[in-house]
Amino acid sequence: MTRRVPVEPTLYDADGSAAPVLHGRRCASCGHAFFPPQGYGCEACGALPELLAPEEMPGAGTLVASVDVRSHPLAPFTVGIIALDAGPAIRAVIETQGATLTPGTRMRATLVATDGRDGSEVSELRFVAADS
Amino acid sequence: MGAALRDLRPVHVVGVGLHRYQRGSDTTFVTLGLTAVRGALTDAGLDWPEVEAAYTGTALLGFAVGRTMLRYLGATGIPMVQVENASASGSTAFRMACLDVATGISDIAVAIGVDKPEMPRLAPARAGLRDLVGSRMLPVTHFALLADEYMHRYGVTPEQVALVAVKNHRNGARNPFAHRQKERTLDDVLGEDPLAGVLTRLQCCPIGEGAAAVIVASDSAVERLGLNRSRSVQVLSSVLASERVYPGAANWDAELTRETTACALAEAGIGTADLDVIEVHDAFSIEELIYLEAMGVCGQGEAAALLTDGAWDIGGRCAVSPSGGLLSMGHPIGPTGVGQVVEITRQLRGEAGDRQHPGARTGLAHMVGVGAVCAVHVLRTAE
Ligand SMILES: [Zn+2]
Repeated sequence: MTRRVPVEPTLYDADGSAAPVLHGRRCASCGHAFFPPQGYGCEACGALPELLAPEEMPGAGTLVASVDVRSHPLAPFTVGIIALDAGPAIRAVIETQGATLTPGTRMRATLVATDGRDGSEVSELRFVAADS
Repeated sequence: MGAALRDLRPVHVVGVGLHRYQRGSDTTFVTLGLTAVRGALTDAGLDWPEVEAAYTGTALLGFAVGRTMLRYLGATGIPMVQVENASASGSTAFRMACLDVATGISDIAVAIGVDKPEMPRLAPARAGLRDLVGSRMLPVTHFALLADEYMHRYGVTPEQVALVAVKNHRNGARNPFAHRQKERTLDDVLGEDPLAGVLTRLQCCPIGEGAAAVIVASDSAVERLGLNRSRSVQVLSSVLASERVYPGAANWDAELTRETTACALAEAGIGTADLDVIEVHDAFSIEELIYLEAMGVCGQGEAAALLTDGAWDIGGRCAVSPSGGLLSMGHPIGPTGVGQVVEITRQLRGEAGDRQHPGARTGLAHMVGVGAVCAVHVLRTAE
């Protein structure tokens, strides 16, 4: 499979494997887990950047909410809040595939091939219903 | 622990003024601000030289707003500070004016809010962080997501959420300073395509221009200058807080409002049942329901049914956003939090005309700023 360039290489792996993983972090001092990653300091306890250890978070979780957006230069699209099994609640683009998704739906991450700004092929991490 | 406002000198609102909130126009911010301050001075029966400090809440105008505007009242040389705290800029300017008087640094201070609809430079976008949604997550989308979660959790319908906008436009239609002064039916509100989720245009606040001013004074200033004590309103508490880390998928906007309001009520020595009037940060319709519950004014999941029953109407159990709120009076950013205090002062004085909530004695003003910060003030009528 052709390796596509991830849109956000710091956020996830995009090597075409079946189960993309998110590059989260966990504080070695207090255990606070978070995504997206940042290297400034722990929001929960103030620990220094060197204590924010990378943690691969499976792209699996439960839908908290989702909405269709109609008024936006990129519209239409769907975004949602997903409570990852790894802990953090994250915001992501949702591929509804025509279904109406209700809170509580199990979700999984998938890599979607899109065209980058310069016309190159890129991979973007989005979420779909786990049973799709 | 530091002191609460009530541990310091009593602070009284003695004068309020507004420039109408409206679409961006050729009117300069200088004219907007001077109109509001002169209105407040006239209302208080004060001359500008009596004012000892000026705090100007503004988020969009840029450098050096205060003196550029206030010099034309007569340059008295007083300290002038510009206050930026996102949507809570005006509320924060009001808090700083209150603290000036409470601590005894000033006997009389003015809080001003003024803005014009300019595109802000948003610091969060320049923190060097990436996420999975990027520019797709506009405020309307964030609050549409909260609406989706709320409606599903409590079995609330899109129509019930939209009724917040119907009520607040009904209130704003009676407010000559409101940006939107037109009553809207449920069909009007739901008759347009949603921008995101269930939120239609009329469930989103208009951002225009305007100004608001509130003059606060100490007991000694009220005595010395012979100000009308029966029209003064005491500031019982002032609490400003910022977001902490909340567990899992918690609604951080609700949690921040819950903590800030609980602190403000405790410092004021009152409970939610004492509140007659609340001006709430209803930038989007769903926020009013979520925040009323977070404040503890009603139980979780109860605000929508109570809205339908008229509990939050003028004349109901507690008048919520009698000014029209951000949805109808408007949200010109800097003025908004100061304008909430103007409305509550008029309500507690019994001077709110055909928006008057009968018997209003105690009011609460609530603003949220992106980031997030939350400001809550509790006011009570003169005894
Ligand atoms: Zn930590």
